[in-house]
Amino acid sequence: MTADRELVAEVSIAASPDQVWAALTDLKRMSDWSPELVAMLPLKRGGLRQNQWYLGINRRKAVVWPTRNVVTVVDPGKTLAWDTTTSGSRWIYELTHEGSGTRLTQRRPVPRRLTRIGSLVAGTMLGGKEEHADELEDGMRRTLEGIKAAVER
Amino acid sequence: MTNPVGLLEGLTLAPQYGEEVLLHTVRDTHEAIAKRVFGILGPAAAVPRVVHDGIAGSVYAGLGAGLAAGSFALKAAGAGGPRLAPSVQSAIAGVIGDRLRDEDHPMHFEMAVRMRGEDVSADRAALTAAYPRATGRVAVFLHGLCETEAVFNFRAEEHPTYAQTLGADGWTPVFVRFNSGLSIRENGAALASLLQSVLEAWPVPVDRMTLVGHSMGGLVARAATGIGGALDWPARVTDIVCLGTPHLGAPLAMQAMHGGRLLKVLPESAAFGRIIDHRSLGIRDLESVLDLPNADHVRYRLVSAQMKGVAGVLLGDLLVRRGSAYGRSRTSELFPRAEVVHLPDTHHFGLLNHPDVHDKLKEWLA
Repeated sequence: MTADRELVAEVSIAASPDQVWAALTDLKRMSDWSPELVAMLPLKRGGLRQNQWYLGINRRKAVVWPTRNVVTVVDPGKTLAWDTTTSGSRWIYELTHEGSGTRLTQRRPVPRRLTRIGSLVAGTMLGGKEEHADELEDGMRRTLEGIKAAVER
Repeated sequence: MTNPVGLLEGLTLAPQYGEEVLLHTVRDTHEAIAKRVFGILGPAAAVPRVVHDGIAGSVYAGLGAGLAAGSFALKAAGAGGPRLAPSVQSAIAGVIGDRLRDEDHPMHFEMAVRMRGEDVSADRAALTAAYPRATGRVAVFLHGLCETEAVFNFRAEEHPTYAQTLGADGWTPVFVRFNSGLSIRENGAALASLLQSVLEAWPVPVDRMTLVGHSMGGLVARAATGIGGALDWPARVTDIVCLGTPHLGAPLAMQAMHGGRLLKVLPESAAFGRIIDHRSLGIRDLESVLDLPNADHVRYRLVSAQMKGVAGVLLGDLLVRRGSAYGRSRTSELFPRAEVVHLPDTHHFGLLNHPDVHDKLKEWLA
């Protein structure tokens, strides 16, 4: 396992894509579900839209670091994606009909490059990129489980 | 001076950030401010060093030698980063720092705790080494647009600094440097992250924190404390001291937005007209009233200054007007319960070491 692989997690949710979309796009709740995310807040006016920036604060054990995320795709009920420019990663959420429910998939394609700050954080503070990639994938599963629990409640 | 265009090319800055924008803007502004301050304060020798090192002066004063050295160093060191004077680096960052960051340019630098001109990692070992006499009261100093942490040494030759005054009262001063060309909220998020790390790695338990911001630094302090999320440090903050902070925007930046009419009136501001199209996100943030939430448990201490004469009426302390420093306008009152201190007849840098503020700091942070 290395950092240079696509990370994928998915979950089946007993709710319509619209309901899942509503929970997913309430990004201030994302820190309740994502184990690495402490806070996420929009930088510009206008709410969730393409080119909106979200500032994130992440933490893993004793390390806390800021992220900058630029929304790239907002296709209601189908796809939400943003680029984390500080790490060179793209995070994609895809919703598909699955019977009467929804299949929610989260993917992080192979990063084009790790930026200097991303390399620094991953390499020296997070115990290496490989270990962090495995942990990220686990965190993605926990995030999706959190969304599932919230929507099905 | 050697050929500045060539130097800027050596720095791989895009041509539009070249001589015209950077060098002339900064030089003209510096000369105007220096002349105004010079006129008020007396002989050339008395022009405060901080004006040279501060918002405009450092780029101008350092551009020739600094960038010349930087361009050689860049070629030699590749991505290892240029060895520019930090003051030059910070001044350029204030003007185009967001683009330096977006381009992953070697001149971009991350926010960090600073000690004796070097970064200090926010981990236990580094903080313990850097602060052998750390106390449980941490005073965080945040500089303004285009400045570095060195700005808090203003008049250190003649008077104790605020850090020394607080140090004598049991506080441990911590200086932070940041790229002031980034948006204020982004620097706020970086500060929130950094202070969480500092809190957890501090050599002794932290029972009280205060943030002291000069100019834009006060806005970064407010942005950081308002960020929310599961962070422990904001609850330790009892006071935020804002020295000439433009809570309702700064006239230079606002005039830049409104077509630069006033910019042409005063020599201090005339050169800013040139950077209207190139100004950083940090400067753009100063044009508006940022919607930053106040923390209920924090006491806001607001200090403003005003120059005498026409410059004072138009520009307040040269850069920030009194109402903006207090967060007061005809329609809004950002800090209804804040204690305010007005310093007549001083300028935006005079706020950095003033006897009245020393007294107030001792009272507020006892």
